[in-house]
Amino acid sequence: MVKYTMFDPQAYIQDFPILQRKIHGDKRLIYLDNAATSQKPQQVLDTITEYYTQHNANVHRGIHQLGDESTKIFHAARKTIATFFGTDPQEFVVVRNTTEAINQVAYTWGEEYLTAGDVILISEMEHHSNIVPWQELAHRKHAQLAYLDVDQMGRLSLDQLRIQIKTYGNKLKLVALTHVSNAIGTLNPIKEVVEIIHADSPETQVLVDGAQAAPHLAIDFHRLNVDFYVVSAHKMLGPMGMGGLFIRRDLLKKMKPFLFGGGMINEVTKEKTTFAEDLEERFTAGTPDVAGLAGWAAACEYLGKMGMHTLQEYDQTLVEHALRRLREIPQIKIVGPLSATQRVGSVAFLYKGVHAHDVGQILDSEGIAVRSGHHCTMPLHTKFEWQATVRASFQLYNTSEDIDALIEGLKKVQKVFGQ
Amino acid sequence: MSDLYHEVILEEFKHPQNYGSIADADLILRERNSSCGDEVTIYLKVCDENGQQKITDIKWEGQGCAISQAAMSVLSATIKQQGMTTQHVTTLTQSPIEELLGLDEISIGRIKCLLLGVQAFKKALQNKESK
Repeated sequence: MVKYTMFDPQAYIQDFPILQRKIHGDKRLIYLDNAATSQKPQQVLDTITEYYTQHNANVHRGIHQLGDESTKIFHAARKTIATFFGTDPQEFVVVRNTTEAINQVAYTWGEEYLTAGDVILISEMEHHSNIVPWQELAHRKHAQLAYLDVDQMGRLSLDQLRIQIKTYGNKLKLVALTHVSNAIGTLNPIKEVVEIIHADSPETQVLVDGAQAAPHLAIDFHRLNVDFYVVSAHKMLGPMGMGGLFIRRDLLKKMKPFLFGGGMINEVTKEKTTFAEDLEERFTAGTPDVAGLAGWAAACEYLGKMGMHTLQEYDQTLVEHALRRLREIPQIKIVGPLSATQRVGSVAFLYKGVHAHDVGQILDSEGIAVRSGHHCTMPLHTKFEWQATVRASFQLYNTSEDIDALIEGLKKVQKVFGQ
Repeated sequence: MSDLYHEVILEEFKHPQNYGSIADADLILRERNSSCGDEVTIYLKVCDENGQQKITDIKWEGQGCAISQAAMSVLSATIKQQGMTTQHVTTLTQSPIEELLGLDEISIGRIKCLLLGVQAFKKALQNKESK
């Protein structure tokens, strides 16, 4: 049994209606696929329903009560979300998800500031969403895409980073790294990375993929001191189709809008257009998803009520418990860091002699939802010659009993495959 | 907000104060809220007062909704009455203008109309600073 020092998940499980449903007949749902997407609490669902049942109207310029209410909800939600991430609405561009956020940076900042021979530095542990947009941009611009190595323990080397910075000099325009690896759970030392880059290459921009960090860590955009930070709402109890691109204000001011059209203009003539001076407006083209934003804000409030530091601590206890119990099964090889303090949110592993999809299928028959595959990190899997891995990932509604159930499920794999 | 179009606003809208232009103006400010078509042109006579621009005379012309034009009217009267500096005008927020018009709180969709005149001063100051 894990001791919960600060946090009792039992008090919150009832907030998630989907956790009450049964799987394959009468099996309790044990949802361990949170790194793919989290479940949503009733508070988020109610907020979205209330918006559509009580307040639905387009924002701005609707000179009627519903229009005013919707506009207020829109701005309040943007403020809540931005504040949750340690910034303000003037540095917050709403996108559909992390992938779209990174593409937007590539298509706007990248198109404008990158030239032939420049270097974009990423790591071998990046999700495809933080690889492919840069590959494409590098092709278009005849720039170079370089990689930081990941070692056997799933870590980046800061010494190698220093060497790369020296090697590429002023050609190094962007370093784009994940805060937490979606595949192997590694927590990267972003603060140290940023300090090294700022000290040795102050002109280099830093983008951090926060998709897996935002659901578990307290994120302070200003304190991290990065240029771009990108997140998805659906991984942090919010709705799907909502994401955030946080951009340093002075940088955003210089950037061209990505989407053009209604709402983001100052004045339009037949020949040309001037754009809204207000950054929130300039980077919001078209009707925003007000209900989605309100739902995401409700998720931020829900998480904020418990405190991200408390939740991070709780996540550590789950990760630690999973690491310890998985080691009891000799056929299992854990991938990524073996210390819980170097990990956030998940544990992935290989099962000797059994393909990850078969492991996943057998676990599913027990009501246990995990993810099997390359987790959108093919270069990492190729490097270590992992065909596919099984990943169990956690949220605040998971308990040590869920992990114990996973272990029991893995014993069934043993039984079925006889190994 | 049913009392939005009360006497003060309608009176200011129909008979705006300081309406017109100044041929030898020291400063001419323009602001336009394109999304609803409100616009205003402000003519100023100014003199130096401790390094700040004290407004000695103001006239304005414009067109747009009753709120934007009535707000500009009372703003111009206050500026003139108090002999405000241009810097002072840029610090004015929503509530003093609401007070001048006898409003409790204007709806969120009309704030830009209310602050059209103030925005003209803000933009002029920004342009000056960026030069």
